[in-house]
Amino acid sequence: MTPHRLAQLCFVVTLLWALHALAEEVELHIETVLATNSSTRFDARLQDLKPLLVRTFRYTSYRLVREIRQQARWGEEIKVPLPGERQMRVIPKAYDRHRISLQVMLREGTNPTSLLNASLSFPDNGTIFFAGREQKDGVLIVRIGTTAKEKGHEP
Amino acid sequence: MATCSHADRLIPLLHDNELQSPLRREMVAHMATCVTCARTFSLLEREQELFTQAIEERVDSIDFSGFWQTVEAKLSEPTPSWAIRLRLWYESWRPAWAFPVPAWAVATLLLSLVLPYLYLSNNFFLTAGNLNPSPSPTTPLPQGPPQQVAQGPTEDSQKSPLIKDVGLSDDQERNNNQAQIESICTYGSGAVAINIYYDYESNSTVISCGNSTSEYPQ
Repeated sequence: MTPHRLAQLCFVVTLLWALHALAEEVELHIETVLATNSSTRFDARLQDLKPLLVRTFRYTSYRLVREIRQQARWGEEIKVPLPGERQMRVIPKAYDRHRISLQVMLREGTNPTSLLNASLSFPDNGTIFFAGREQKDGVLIVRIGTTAKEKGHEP
Repeated sequence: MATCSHADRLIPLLHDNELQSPLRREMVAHMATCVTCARTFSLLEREQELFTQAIEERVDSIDFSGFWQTVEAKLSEPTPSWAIRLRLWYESWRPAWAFPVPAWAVATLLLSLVLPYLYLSNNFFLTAGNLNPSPSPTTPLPQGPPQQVAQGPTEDSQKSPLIKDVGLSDDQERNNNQAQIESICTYGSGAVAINIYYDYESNSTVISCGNSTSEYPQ
């Protein structure tokens, strides 16, 4: 192989590596559930969560308000609008030893004020639940599930 | 031999029909009186006749009888392998990327230096900026100081008793859905109780914010 060919090959390999690094992604699955005592209706789409919801929150009615599946790059901020002028911001930070690190921020109001800021990690393909403050008509529960598409991001 | 200044410059243009009308009329009138120009013009005409004749003879000599059969045969030929096509494609682009070796080396070096820098700076902003984000000019100040509810293990801090290091093996870690809380802060006035609850049956972690610890009875 000539030096010219070798130099070209090195460039192509570096370019492919760069494209690969840029293509690293994580899939976020975010479900917003409204739990109330206003009825006894249970949303059929939440059937797999029923034991946990009933055991943990003890409301009579659970309704899936919003479901979002979104591909995100590591470090990209995903904004999830919640009822009551609230917004959840999720940033997938890193993948390390089969665990995904997330930054989760809960904000409120048209001129957003932070309510909660959490930095945590949980296993790939795992889920975590966030429940807000109890209001008179119920509580909002957000389930966040993540799946790393590329496993190379280790800061 | 008599010469005329028009013969070299304008007669070829007249022959090629490239002259505008006034000049053309003037040249035609001039040619009627100038023997040199008339001779040059007739020579050009003769030259063109010979040239056309030669081309026609060459075209007539070409055998087009098997043209379509050849085209069909070419079309039915198997396509070359991807390696050959790649080689042809490479050869067709060779002039475009025929940079010297140092140019390729510099490009590779720059690419491999710039990307990690962007990567690291992205992580730097994530870790330094977002863990405890300062309010932006458009963000109003929180009503109260942030309350650090739990702080996980960091290089500078000791492990909080709220966070258990269970020392799981790699396989256990994969199957265990328990979240590890690095830090969690609440903002605003009033006491906020954070319940971090691990549900063994569903293998899920639940973080709930409430006004009191008895809000979500376990």
